[in-house]
Amino acid sequence: MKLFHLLPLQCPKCGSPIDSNRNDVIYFCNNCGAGLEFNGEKLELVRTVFARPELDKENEPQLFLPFWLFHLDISIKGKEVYLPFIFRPNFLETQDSLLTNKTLLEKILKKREEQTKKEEMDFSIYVPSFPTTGTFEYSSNIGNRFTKTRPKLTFYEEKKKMESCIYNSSDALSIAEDEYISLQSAVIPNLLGLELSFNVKEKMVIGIPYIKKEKGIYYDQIIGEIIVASALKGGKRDERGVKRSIGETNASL
Amino acid sequence: MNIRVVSVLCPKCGAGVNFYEKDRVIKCHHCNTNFIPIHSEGVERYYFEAFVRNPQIKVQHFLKQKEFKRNEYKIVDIDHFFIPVWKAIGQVTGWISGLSPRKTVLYTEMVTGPNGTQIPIKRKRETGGIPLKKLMRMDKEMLLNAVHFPDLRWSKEEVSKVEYSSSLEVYNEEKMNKWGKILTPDLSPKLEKKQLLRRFIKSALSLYINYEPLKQRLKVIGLRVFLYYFPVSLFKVELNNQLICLTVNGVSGKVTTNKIFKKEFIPKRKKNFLSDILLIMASSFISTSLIVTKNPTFAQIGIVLVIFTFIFIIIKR
Repeated sequence: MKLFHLLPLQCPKCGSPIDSNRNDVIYFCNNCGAGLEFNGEKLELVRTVFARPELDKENEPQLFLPFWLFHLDISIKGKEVYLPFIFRPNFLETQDSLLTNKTLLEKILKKREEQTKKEEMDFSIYVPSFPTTGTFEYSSNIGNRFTKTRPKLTFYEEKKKMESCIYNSSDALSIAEDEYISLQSAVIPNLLGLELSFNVKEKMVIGIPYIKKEKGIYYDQIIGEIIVASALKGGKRDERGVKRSIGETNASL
Repeated sequence: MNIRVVSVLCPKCGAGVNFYEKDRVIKCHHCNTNFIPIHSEGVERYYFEAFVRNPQIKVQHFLKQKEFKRNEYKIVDIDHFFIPVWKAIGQVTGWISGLSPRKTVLYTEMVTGPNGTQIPIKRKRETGGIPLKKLMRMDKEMLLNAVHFPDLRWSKEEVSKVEYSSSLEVYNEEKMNKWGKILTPDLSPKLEKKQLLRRFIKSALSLYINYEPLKQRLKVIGLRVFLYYFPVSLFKVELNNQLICLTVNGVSGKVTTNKIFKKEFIPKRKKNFLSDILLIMASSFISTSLIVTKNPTFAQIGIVLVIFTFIFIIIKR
């Protein structure tokens, strides 16, 4: 039995060789733009899209940072729940809690009636999956902010260049669960005591467009969150073999 | 640190390819092809090439240093093994909640009495019960012996040493069998992975073990499991009528033993003291004989002999 072998990184869709960084777990084809994930046996296609800018539309994005997007069915002890809408913008006050606000349950139920089931089922969680340096707290709220904002995205037809993606779908789903609990536990205090289960309806990698606002600062062209360039770990090496961050690489170009 | 380099041959062009141990993508700079290293059962197996070609010499040298002569011990058995060690790296992530442990604390409070005097009064106070709700994210690394082998005196931390980097190779049963036996881990990779996940979560919760009720939804992400095979030689030596096991590290050649032992010998000081007494007696006898001859030359030689004898003993001590 062969315990080790090398699998050539080749796109199963178009057959072209794939160039990738040494820490990547999702590989993006430079030719057709397909995203690939190794599932333990073979390379599997992952739906990959590149979002069009919603802000600063006249400027072309300089970077596409990968975010996992999960459409989920969430259930508690086998019962389907429709909780997501309660953290939609301007729906709840930050101090709202089922323990303190007696009318909150009624409010939720009333709102529930207003929503169609289809809309509620369209519940998505964004998980940032690009490598960062220690200066950037990974569980920073970028993912939460995208999840809360629920942006209406439109996508490019053509392929773009995606930066490194360091989480595979199962790891990203674990982070998505944490994000869900972060968002909901303010409303349902005992959420950790419940038997929550997360079923993935759809998953994809979205390239979120980023542009340089001022020296050393990028902001996304969807909701306008900023990120310091030095916090982005490029994983690329210059001609002297020195590892440089994305910010440094771009600054030198 | 990700600085240990491993060499393999490119399956496409046959050129030598070097990659860092923790790389997830390997690039052949000769044909410009990228590869993903595929490890059976998701376990990344490596071995350390044995640099020590003749471990017996190392054992003999070790025993010589302990002042044992070749005829005072007997090598009964020699075995060469590749001993497996598990290593896991990953990140524990998830939410935990609970209440900090409750305790009753006794304290003394000074109260002013009716006539203005301060009276100490002992009181009780309840502490703890502070709610905790935390999103945990911590990197973990763990090393575990894959086999139980009490005769071996060797530390599992050896597999993490950067200085052994040059001997690190991808698992190759054929090459390894030429040097020694390959020991099979006590648990299958599937079971070991489950154990490792449990240990990771247990270690992440160790600070909150007394929190009641402790609820958690912790998971391990980015888990990578390595199985390292390290070369060691086990020598069984009969010495002082007992059997002693000596382990030779196959990479560094360091010898360790499972028992503290030393050669039994007469204290050197006592031995020296006896020889000094004998020397003084002999010197005194000759000097006295020379002095009693009443020949001035012989008498002088006798006195000088006595002085020299004392100087010699003082310098020697």
